[in-house]
Amino acid sequence: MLEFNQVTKVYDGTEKAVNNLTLDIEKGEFIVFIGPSGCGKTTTMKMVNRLIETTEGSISIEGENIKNKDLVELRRTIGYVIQQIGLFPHMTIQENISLVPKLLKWPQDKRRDRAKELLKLVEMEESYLDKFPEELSGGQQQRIGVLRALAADPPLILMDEPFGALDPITRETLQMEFKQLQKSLHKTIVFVTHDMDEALKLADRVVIMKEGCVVQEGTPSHIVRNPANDFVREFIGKDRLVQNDPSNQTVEEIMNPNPVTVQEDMNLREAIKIVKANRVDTAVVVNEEKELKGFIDVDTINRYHRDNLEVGKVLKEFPIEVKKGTPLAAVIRKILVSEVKYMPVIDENKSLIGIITGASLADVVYESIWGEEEHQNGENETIGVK
Amino acid sequence: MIEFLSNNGSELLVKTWEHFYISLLAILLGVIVAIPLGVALTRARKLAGFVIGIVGVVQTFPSLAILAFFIPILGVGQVPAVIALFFYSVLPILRNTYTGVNGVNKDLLEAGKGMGMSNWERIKDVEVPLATPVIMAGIRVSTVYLIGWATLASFIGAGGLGDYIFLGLNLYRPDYIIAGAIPVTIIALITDLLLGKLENKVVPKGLSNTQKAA
Repeated sequence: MLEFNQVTKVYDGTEKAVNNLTLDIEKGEFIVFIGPSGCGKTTTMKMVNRLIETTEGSISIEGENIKNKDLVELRRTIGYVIQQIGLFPHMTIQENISLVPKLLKWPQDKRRDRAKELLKLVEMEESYLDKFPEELSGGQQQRIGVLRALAADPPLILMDEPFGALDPITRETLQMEFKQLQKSLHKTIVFVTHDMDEALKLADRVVIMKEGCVVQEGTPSHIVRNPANDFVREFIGKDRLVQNDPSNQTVEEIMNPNPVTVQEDMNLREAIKIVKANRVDTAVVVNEEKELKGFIDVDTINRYHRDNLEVGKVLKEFPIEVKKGTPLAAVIRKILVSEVKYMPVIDENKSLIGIITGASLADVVYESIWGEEEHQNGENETIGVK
Repeated sequence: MIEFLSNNGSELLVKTWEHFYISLLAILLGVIVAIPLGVALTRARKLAGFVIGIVGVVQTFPSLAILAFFIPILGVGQVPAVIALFFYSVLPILRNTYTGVNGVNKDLLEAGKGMGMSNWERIKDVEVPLATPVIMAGIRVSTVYLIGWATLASFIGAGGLGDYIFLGLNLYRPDYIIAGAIPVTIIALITDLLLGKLENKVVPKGLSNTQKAA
């Protein structure tokens, strides 16, 4: 659908931003260009809608060279989403979404209907249509940014680090939403990012670039399993450990099954004895049926030890609990993102069956690093035998 | 004062009207010329400094000299007065249009370009609407100055409230001077007030207060 044929871009006569790039992109494919800054990924993308012109080689869409098309018309048939969102502050959400349809001279009602239809895709209410961008949160604004690119139903959409400026949690939500959307709409997506996590999560095919050249391309799992060289290996980095190895492990495998517990109806003095005897800084609070209630920590003890209250009165609740059987990868992300120290594991009756700590997490990470090294040594030995 | 008004009341109204309409005409001409020119200059940066410099120099010419300069070319009366005043109205509007349009967030322009807006569509739908707060500020400054300077138009026979002021000067009659000066101030204040209202109307909704202030 989209073909790069020996494309080269030279800036200022000497510096090759993109060097002899040849690539075929299938219809409906989600392709992610990734690499360190200055690797030519953004230049490559912007050559598609001719915000940057190629120096040599050709790019064609559906077999037609883009140089033969009218510039403005070409761009109206390609969706474009940028990192800075770029909604027009003086236009309502509806006007923003239906900008390209307006340029294409769609009638007013058709434009409004289309805007409504699109808002439904991201589960936003129709009342947003008449608001202005500044009344929306960053995440909502970028949702509108994406809808704006979809408005005239272009077969191809270019996205330049669209989620890069959002906070981690919003980013994750939008990534998930967008992947769903792409699956149902069968658009061809060219996506640029420097976030490996994002690339592996979204892409059908990842293209890793360095200094204007493609270093490696392939499906995320192929790249993660067979990195072409040290650059790729380093670039994938620890994400791979987190994303790949623990993927089939569940939380039970790494949790501590015997955390220090205190009873809800104990008084604080008894609880302190238990905490002290076990030399821990936090104890999980349960009731007689082992049902999880919360926790007490040094801070709680410090604050209330004079009052000698019942534990149930001073406990704090865990911000996050996980059910048994949850894949480890999901939990690691939560711990990394939310910076909680402990995460209790519960069964379907809310009974405590264990706890995940920073230490158990560290074990997983070290094990997979150590495991990898061992694996490499193994390879060397085989080569030695040959 | 009351005696002056009863003797000259209707004439005062006529002169006020003349004054108002000479200034307004000059401003309108200024708007018509300076806004497109300002936008055009943002497309020709190299020329911009030069053109704005020239207009700035024109601004420093003594206004009496400019008025006098037009007498041999255009004669006396309202036409040369309007044209001379027009020269003064250009600079603030031109400079603010140029600055305002240049100050539009480049990301928005890139988004517009990437979505397939033509150059004209970007000017009309993005750059000028977003620059209106700054352009309007230029128009307001220009207008207030011009209403003051229009008193000099009387010097070349264009009428207006300047007539009273010059008459008062010649006859040593302070009441005439006051009768000319006070309405000028009032017109300036009222016009600025009305322009403020107009500004609220033409500045697009959705631009936050901070942007309006810019």
